[in-house]
Amino acid sequence: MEEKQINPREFADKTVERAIKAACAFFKCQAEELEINVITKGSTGLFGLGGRKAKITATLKPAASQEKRGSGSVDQLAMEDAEATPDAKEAYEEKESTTREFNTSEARKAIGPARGNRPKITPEEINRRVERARNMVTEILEKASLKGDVDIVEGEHGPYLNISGEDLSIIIGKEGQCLDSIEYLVNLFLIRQDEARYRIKIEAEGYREKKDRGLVMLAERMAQKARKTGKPVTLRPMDARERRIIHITLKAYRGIRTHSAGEGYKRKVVITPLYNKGRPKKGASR
Amino acid sequence: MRELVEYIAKALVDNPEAVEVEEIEGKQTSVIELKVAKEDLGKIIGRQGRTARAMRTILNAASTKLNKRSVLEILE
Repeated sequence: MEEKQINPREFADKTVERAIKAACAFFKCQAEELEINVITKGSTGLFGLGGRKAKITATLKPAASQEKRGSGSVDQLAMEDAEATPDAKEAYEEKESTTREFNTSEARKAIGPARGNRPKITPEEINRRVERARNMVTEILEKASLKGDVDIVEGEHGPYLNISGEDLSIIIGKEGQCLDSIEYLVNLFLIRQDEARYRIKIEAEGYREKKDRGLVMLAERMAQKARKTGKPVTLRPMDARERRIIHITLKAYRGIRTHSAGEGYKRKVVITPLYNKGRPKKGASR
Repeated sequence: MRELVEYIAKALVDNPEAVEVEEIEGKQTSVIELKVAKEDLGKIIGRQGRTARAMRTILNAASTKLNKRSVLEILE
């Protein structure tokens, strides 16, 4: 541990940023906490040919130098913590591994409330909403002369509705389109009634869960394909919920990146490989 | 069918009393005409026609059950 902080280490990657990232991963810290010297900037070359790697050296900054800067909120918190003891530097280094994690989460908490401007919703309110949603779904099904029972189920992330019954396959519809439509309309009704948002999920005897599992599998298969061929893979148009599942599944996946392209209901997820076929870059962390 | 469209439309608009639904039944296909207050038209159609599409999807599901076809017309 001590050695790592004193001796500069060399990192090489496609770009300086990536080399810094690798250094951060190595020292398990933020880029701001590193003393970085750029040796060569590196170039990607022409069409990815004849590129040179970027080289940097990085050292973990001692706590003393952090005191002078004190810029980032995370750093500042860590710094204040260290100052509380007589020998700041020693204390900081000693507590480093545990303290930093603690302070990061503290800092995050401090940022948190500023983002969420939505009114908080109480459990009672949620229950009232779910009940209202249930009545709406029941009403819609009845008026559509479709036979289905609607039940409230306590799920992992709060209550949701489950539809079961004779006409379930019609209620689900092609690719779940009808179920999505009912869910969309019911949530639209609820939003019109009051401001606070709580999306009510409508499940049909495990249909959504099964479909989501299928999406995870599809995501992994297509990510492998993108990596193997070195070409971007575009998935079929999906709604926000489905796209989210794809993005989350592939977030930690190496060698590819995902983004969404297109407008409205035609929006699709694109999986882009990070390097071309046959030229895997050494030391690429993602 | 008429009731279904009426129920959904009235739940979405600001002026439920202005909602008018008429069903013109054919042998196989029935046309359902929906009329709402001018300022509610956007609410019925939705962003990128999403709400109108959702209504049509549910309407089609209901028609499937009856072995029929339905067309939803939104009148201006």
